[in-house]
Amino acid sequence: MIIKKTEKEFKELLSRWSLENLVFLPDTRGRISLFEEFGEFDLASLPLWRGVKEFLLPARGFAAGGSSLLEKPVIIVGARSCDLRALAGVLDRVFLENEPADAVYGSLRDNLTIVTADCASPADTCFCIQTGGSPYVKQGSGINLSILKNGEFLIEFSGERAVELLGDSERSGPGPGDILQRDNIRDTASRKVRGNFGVSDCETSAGKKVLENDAAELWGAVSGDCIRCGGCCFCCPTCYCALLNESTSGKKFTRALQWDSCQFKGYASSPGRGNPGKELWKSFRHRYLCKFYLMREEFGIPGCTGCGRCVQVCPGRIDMRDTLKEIYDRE
Amino acid sequence: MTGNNLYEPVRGVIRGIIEETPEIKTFSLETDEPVEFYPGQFILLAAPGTGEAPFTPSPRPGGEPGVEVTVKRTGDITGALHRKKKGDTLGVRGPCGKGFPLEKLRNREFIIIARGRHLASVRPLILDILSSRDSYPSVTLLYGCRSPGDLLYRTDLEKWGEKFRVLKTAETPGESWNGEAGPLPGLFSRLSPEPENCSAVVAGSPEIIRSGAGALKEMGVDESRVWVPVEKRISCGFGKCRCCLAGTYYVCRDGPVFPYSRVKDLPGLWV
Repeated sequence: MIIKKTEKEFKELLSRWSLENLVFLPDTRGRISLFEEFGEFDLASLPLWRGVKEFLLPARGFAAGGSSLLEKPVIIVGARSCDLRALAGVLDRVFLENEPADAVYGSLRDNLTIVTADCASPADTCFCIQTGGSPYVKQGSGINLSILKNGEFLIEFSGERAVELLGDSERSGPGPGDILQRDNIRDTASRKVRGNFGVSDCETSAGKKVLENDAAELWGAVSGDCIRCGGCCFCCPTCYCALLNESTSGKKFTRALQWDSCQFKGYASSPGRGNPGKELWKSFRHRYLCKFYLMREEFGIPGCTGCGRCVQVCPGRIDMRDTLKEIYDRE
Repeated sequence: MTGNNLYEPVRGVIRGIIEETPEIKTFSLETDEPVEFYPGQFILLAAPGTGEAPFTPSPRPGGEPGVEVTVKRTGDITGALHRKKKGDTLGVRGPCGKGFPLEKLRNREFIIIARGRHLASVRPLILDILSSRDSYPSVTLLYGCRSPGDLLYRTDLEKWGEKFRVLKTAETPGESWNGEAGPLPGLFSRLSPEPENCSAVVAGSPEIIRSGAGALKEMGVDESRVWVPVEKRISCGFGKCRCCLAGTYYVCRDGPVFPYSRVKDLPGLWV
């Protein structure tokens, strides 16, 4: 079902949801914030920090007592197609479908409703289509927002939870030409994304390319500006490497999965088996191998959703697309 | 399984400590909840405040509830474990992994090659052999250690030698040593398996695994019937943290025991 709302009506809807839910959405600072606290939102921005992943796998993990996010149902508004792809295609598979399931992740996931939004104006760093995605959700979203040129919202929804959230709101269907306008906006966004990166079949071919190319000279050249900060992994919607650490809660030791990064020098090292990440180029190549080959073998989709966040955060200005181009140019 | 939360350990109280060698101790732990494991699976043992690491559990003698774990001092965590005394508490998680495919090992000729502390990872399998002796028509254990002082499970080895063929060697034997002398690969020529009807386990450093599996291959034993315990850094234990990834396998979830044919060419695994 598709309904239409003005911006004012949409804000009223958010306020109504906020009565019984914790409603988060991208704010004007490029973060995901609580609507009640920040008020203003900007659905056109691509939040780099506190992405959807952090609601389920926070950087420092959850203490044994659980999370304050479980006090009320959580709604994240404005998640992107790339976020949903990472969630359904990778994280849910690892933490829910692969036995044994992670009960903490499961309870947070059950408590979470995702409201996706079309990318009307993708960033210059976006290349989701080349990795098998699209700038709008084609399937799997319970509630999806499309913003029309006059600022009005088309809300497409299905499923029990969506009906619960939207069922009693005033019904006003799309006007003549609204769907066509939405499709035109989507087509323009797709054209823009296609123009951002020339390798159109990255989804299927990049893994093999990375696997075949393991020359220290090639990877040394492309990794020269990497300072091993791990930012690319932390903002990545599919990266979930972690270390189980102990933290104290009062007098009690508790366990929490805390983020790790394959770009760190000591990643996966052990006294008996040395340090696989000692050389920078090997760590750097591992990330590409993991994203385009290992995760694709395991999950059927690449671990890169082409969201471009890693390109935006890298202090060394390393662009994943430049690295891939370098590999594709080697024949 | 350790309750609802995969990552919370159960309490294990140290009821006994055996000093196997100056660097290796075996801890006998009584756990709050039973830890039911299969030979080849591993548990995660935690020294509270320091961290946890994977070890191979064996059953406690006499069927007492809990586990026995042999620990070699190599780093911070094993160092902290070695400082623990009788009555101290450790954290125990698991069991994790798949373990040995006993159905593929039983009713065949069976060869075990192990060096040093790695005998600990095949000990539960040897205990299975002892408890189901009829299922293993022919068993040979080749065990190598640095010196007689580094010999693991010395009383057990004597008893095992009464039940099946045990050949042990020390690289620097002393005067009282009653085994062979020289590196473990020197014993490989003493094997004469019937290749079609033989399975094997090789436990040791990457060099021992490579040379052991290589020697067996030369004797005609297919690499898919040679099982090797793979060691990697383990953190979550259940395939949730990607720390132990070896190619497309999670050592903690899909292993830690693999057919050699499946893992021998994985890049980075045998560094």
